[in-house]
Amino acid sequence: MNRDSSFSWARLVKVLLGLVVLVGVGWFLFVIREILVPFVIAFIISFLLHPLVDRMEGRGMGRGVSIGLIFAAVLVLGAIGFFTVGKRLTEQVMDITEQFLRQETVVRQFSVTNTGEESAPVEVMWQRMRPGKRFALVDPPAFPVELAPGARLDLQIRFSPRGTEQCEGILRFSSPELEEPFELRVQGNASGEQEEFWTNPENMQKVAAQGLEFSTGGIDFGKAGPSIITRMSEVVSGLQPKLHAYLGVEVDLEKLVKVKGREMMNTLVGRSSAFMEGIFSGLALLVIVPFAVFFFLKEGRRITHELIELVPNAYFELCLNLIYQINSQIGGYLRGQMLETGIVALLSVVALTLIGLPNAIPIGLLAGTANMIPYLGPLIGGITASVVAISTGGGGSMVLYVILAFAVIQMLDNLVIQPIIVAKSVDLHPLLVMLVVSIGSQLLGIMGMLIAVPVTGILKASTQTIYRGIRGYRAG
Amino acid sequence: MADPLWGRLFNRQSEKQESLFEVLKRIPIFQDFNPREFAKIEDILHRRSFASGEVILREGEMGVGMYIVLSGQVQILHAGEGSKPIRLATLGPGDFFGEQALLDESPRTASAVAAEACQAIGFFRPDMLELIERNPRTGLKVVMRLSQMISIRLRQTNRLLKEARERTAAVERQLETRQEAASGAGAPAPPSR
Repeated sequence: MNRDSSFSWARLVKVLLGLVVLVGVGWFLFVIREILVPFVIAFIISFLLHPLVDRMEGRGMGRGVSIGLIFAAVLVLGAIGFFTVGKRLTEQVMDITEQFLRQETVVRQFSVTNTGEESAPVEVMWQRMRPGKRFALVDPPAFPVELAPGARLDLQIRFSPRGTEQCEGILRFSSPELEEPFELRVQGNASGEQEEFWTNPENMQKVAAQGLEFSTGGIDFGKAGPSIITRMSEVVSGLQPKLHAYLGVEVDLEKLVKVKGREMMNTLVGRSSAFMEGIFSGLALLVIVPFAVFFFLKEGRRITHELIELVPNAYFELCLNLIYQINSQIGGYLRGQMLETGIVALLSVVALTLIGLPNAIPIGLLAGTANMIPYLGPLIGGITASVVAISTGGGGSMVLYVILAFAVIQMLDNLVIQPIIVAKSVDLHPLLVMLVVSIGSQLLGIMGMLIAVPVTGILKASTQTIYRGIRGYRAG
Repeated sequence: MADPLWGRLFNRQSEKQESLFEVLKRIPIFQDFNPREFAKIEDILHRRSFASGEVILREGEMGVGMYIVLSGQVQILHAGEGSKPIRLATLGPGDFFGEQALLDESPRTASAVAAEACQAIGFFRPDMLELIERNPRTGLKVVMRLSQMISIRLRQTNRLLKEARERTAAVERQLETRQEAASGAGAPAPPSR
């Protein structure tokens, strides 16, 4: 057979056809990429659970029963997790999102209408503002305002707190018409128990008194406060004179942080909301992932078996061996990664909680996940934790503790965890990781960033094995 | 080979119809397995068809498993010194070959070529390891039977080796006595001439 040396049109056509099919499949996968995400996740999860199912089957349980038991266990563990840490985690995530996204000032409308037959002079005055002047009228008219019969005075009240502390105050309206002054109560960042005044709906309706009608008896401004970016820029602006003095650089750091921070925040939020719409619509993830995991675990071997049957005799053994090797490579890689991620996340949560950093749970989880990215990951976790430490007024000592904690965790990871797990067989170059993480975020947002590293690991393990296998097979 | 992929895709169903169970029962390795164990083993066996003259395994290539002949004839060939390969054996239904690769990853020591259109069952190391993991009892039974078969072959080889050694020894002895006789009778002759 001299088929290797001979050139034939049929061969060329075959190669071209193969290329066209390959491009077509690639394009198709690209188009349906969002639909593929739950399947990729299911694939990864089934790889993690595979050895467990095998072992249970080895103990004499049916495969279906084994999978069912694992599902039940996951459900129970999930429920326990939800009831123990779930509530705190949700609160902390909400708190952290709020810190990034919260409004710095809130403006509400208020109006006074003269329902009487004579004109009435109206005078206003702020009273009992605690903890200080946090409420103000926007562009107030010159008081007293003469309100003609039937006329309405529209006022805008602004709430701009300096922190997230609870604020309250009273805007007192007086007029000769009124027997006693009308008091408009305002509050913001209310927390914990509410006074009875605020829970009574009657107080939130129109209030009529001796020829004057007020649009409401009280205004709750909700949550507001300086966002994390404002906090950061405040800290930075404190550093600016020193920087200028020592280095002689003239940069408006405060503005830089504010502008860039806002831009970054908007991109991130924009992406994540699109991602939520794309993935979680119809609870697709919650339905498809468990279903696909079950299917992969139950029928995975049969699918592989049937696929291998299609391979021509000449490549049959090679393919069979490669698939097996790829399987064990991917399995080792994924299990190692997940285990390491879990341990680092746990250590981070514990360390940050001990330090006393607010929102330690989500930040620790983020640090663990980011740890999949070599070199860059620990930085991401450390920087986020430091930002939170600064913005919550933890000061320099807390930042120091955070950095120390991350340094210790990194050391543990590199010197103890990784050598024990020994699954670093797939080493990804940091540059490559950065590239694929960027591609992932471009294609699929946050979810893309998360699955980029394991998917690249899978592809690299497969390519390596195929390359080595083919060389060894032919040379052997 | 017209188009192996498509051929396989469509032929597969009809091939499956003949129960593998019936076929396997006739083969020594699988003789005392019950139907439940067979179901487990059937999962990991690969049924392959080879055209007449098709190479099933090539000497020198890395192998991962053994084949059991179901129908047809398979020739085991060894590339000798000359251009023509030496035929070592001809195998028929129930015979198996390539079992060494099942135990260790080593290059094939001989080639197997289909002497006529034949069917064979492939049984491979990765699948066997998985079977041992999932169903240790069945897996061990297979390994046990396999070891027995190999042990029988080893015994045969030993017997052959012994015979060969005895024959060599006999030949050597004959040679020696002939030399002695030659030296006893012929060596002094030249000086006497």
